[in-house]
Amino acid sequence: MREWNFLAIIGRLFIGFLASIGHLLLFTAHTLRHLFTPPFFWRITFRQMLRIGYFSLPVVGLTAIFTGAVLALQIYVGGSRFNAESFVGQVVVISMVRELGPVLAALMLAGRVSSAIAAEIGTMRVTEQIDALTTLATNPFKYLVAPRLIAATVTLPLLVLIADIIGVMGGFLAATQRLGLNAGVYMKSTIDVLEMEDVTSGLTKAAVFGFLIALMGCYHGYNSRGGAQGVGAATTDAVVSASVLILLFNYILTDFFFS
Amino acid sequence: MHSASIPMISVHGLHKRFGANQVLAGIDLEVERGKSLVIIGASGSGKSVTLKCILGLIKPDSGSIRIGGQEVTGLSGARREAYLAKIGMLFQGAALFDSMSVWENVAFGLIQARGMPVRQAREKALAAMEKVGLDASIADMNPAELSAGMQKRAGLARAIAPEPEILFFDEPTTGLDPIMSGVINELIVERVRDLGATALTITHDMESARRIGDSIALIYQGRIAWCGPSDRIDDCGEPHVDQFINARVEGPFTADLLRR
Repeated sequence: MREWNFLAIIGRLFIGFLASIGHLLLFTAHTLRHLFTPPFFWRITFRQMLRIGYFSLPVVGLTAIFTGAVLALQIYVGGSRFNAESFVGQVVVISMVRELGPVLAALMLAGRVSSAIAAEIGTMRVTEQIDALTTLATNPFKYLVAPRLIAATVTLPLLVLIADIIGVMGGFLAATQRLGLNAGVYMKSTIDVLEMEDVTSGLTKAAVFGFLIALMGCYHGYNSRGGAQGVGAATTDAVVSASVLILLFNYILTDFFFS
Repeated sequence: MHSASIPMISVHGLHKRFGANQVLAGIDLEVERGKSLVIIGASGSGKSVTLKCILGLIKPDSGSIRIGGQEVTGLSGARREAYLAKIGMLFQGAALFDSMSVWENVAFGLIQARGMPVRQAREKALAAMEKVGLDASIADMNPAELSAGMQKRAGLARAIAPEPEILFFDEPTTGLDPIMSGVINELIVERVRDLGATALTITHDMESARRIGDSIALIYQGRIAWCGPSDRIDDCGEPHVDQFINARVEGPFTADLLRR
């Protein structure tokens, strides 16, 4: 009997998992429908762009500059084993633009933005503010969800572009000031190796990650239940699920662009 | 049929189940145009679920909800928005938007649903605030800076600002002191009368029910156990009503609770 109970638990968990996936897909489909149909709340969207993009600049910038600098130090040490110290600039720029810029910026924003969205919408849910919106003939998907999704999807590529530049500069500073590499040679090798595809793939990833970050925040906040504890759980779930989805989609998109 | 003879709110055979819990088991009620019905009942009896079904916030399993003769269950898109534009709602905790100032809250329905210019909406919002005894000096304050009573009044101002045909009140006096409860009750009566609106209130505050309602309905085990004029409730002879309005410890409510 014990094995059967064990199987029943696994079965219930699996069915619960499938139900969650279905629920999320329905929420996404519902959101997409409202994303492209009027009315559009542009003022709220612009305000969200400021909150998501502008106010995330310091954390993204700091992450990028230290990542670029550490990357330069590590590649120099690793490269010196093969007499490949001159490739530091090239590896730093490719790594930053293709992978580390979008992924690290997105993970930082999953912590900063996805949690904030889930907490805000979750609080609105448990204090009946979302019900109040509905009774005031305003669709919460259009008023709350769509502006955040548009803002995050548009803003994250801009943030990543800035993170890429700051990350490369971090690598440049470490390479020239700490490792004593020639500044002119470093910059030339950096610019020469960079191709448009590297940049566009990174920015496309950023747009997808931005969508996922806002979607997870909105989904978990919108479906939060049970007061402060429910809002807390929604916030945690939003950050965890956004982070996992960022890493999953990073693999899928990398495979799509480069394999 | 003349529109005046059609009940403004008409609910028939409303059922709703959450898992194994049958919350509504066939609610039937009607509210005449311009009249005020108060639904009373114990906590967890289905009052809020009934209200949320009528507002379209919860989808009932079965049953009919007609507003002004028009079926509203399953409405979507523009038709649903047109229905919602006819109603005003005061939530239990006021449910003011904490990202907006008080006047923006009050003007929200005018600007978003009616497309009114902001300046005109602000004037109407200030007028609605004055009607509920809120001074214009608090218009730019954040809702969190207001007392519970002021938040309730701001919520009432938001509900009446678009001059709706139907007003819903969810536990309007919960959490307020007796004096503020009396003030809110008076404001509700006056504003409903001013607008000529139909009103549906849910509460377990008998003082509030007697003051606000032309008629009162008691909900019990998912059905309407008694419904009648508010001045007849004391001698209606229904044992559940008798226990509820006199707050007796012993009676059919208690017997059912002990059986569970």
